[in-house]
Amino acid sequence: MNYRVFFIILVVLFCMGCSKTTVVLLDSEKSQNSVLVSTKKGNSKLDSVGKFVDLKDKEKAPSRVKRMSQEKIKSRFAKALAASPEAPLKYILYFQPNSTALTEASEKSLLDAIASIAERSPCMVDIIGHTDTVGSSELNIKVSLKRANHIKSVLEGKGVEVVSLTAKGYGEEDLQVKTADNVDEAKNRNVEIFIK
Amino acid sequence: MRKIVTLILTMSTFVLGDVAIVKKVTGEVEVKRDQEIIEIQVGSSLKDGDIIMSKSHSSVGIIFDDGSRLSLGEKAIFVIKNFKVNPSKKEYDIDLNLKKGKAVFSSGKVGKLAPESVKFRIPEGIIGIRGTKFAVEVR
Repeated sequence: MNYRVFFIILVVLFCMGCSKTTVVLLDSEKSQNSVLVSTKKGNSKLDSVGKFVDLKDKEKAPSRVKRMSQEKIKSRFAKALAASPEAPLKYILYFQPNSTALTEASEKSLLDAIASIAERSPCMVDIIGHTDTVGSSELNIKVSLKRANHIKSVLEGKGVEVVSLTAKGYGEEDLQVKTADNVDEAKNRNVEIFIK
Repeated sequence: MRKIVTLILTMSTFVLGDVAIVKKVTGEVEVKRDQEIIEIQVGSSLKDGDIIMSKSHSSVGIIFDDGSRLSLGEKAIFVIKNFKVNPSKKEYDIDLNLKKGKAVFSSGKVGKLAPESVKFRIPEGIIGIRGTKFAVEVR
């Protein structure tokens, strides 16, 4: 069975023998999804799933944009698709006002995160602190790192097994709720547990 | 038919300069680091400058520090030229290069925060990223 599929692909490659590289857009399950494929002589935008271009040479523009069926993508990239790791998991923890104590819902999320870490092993875990936009960005990096380190020590206390466990403070750089500067927004004061 | 090698999980410690870990391996996959060839396993750490090479009937899936995911089919050659991510200083520079074979790439945090600093190179040019998952084959 495998051999037959392989044989068909070989024939297809032979027929298209003149092109060397193929780039096809897959479903990223994100709203924003496109790539710009460029050579020295031009570029092509792939902006919907299944669109693809062939490239022959860096001195030639990409081919016109064509569409590849899902069946074709699945057979042609079967091995690489099967080896694709699962998407990282993200848990967001919120704090009680003016406290390092988590809200009740976030206490539960923390337990879920610990269970996921065990399931995903071996994995890397980032604990990323975030702040709202009140105060200077330098101060907010410090505050966010403090929050992250607090959760890190909680996880260490639970004895999780990971390849790496890092605490980072992003300050106001990657806001959950986009706001202007100096806006008090409770949702932006959080710690994210990112499991890879 | 496909040989799936059972691997012992190595819980190697992630150190400074590590940029990704290996999540899936089938068959035999090697990394060329400096002048050494190292066989990689699930849990192995990868560094800037590593060249990943999958043998026939082999594949590998890795996850980068920013959550980007890459998988390679058989007989692929892939170079992690540079992978620098430092959001608190807004420093991002990702430079990857598929020399040969089939790859599936799904961009992570940097693809969202600073897509212009992600370069995925192919022999004929470059793939620019806008929050993306794509497949590429270099023959």
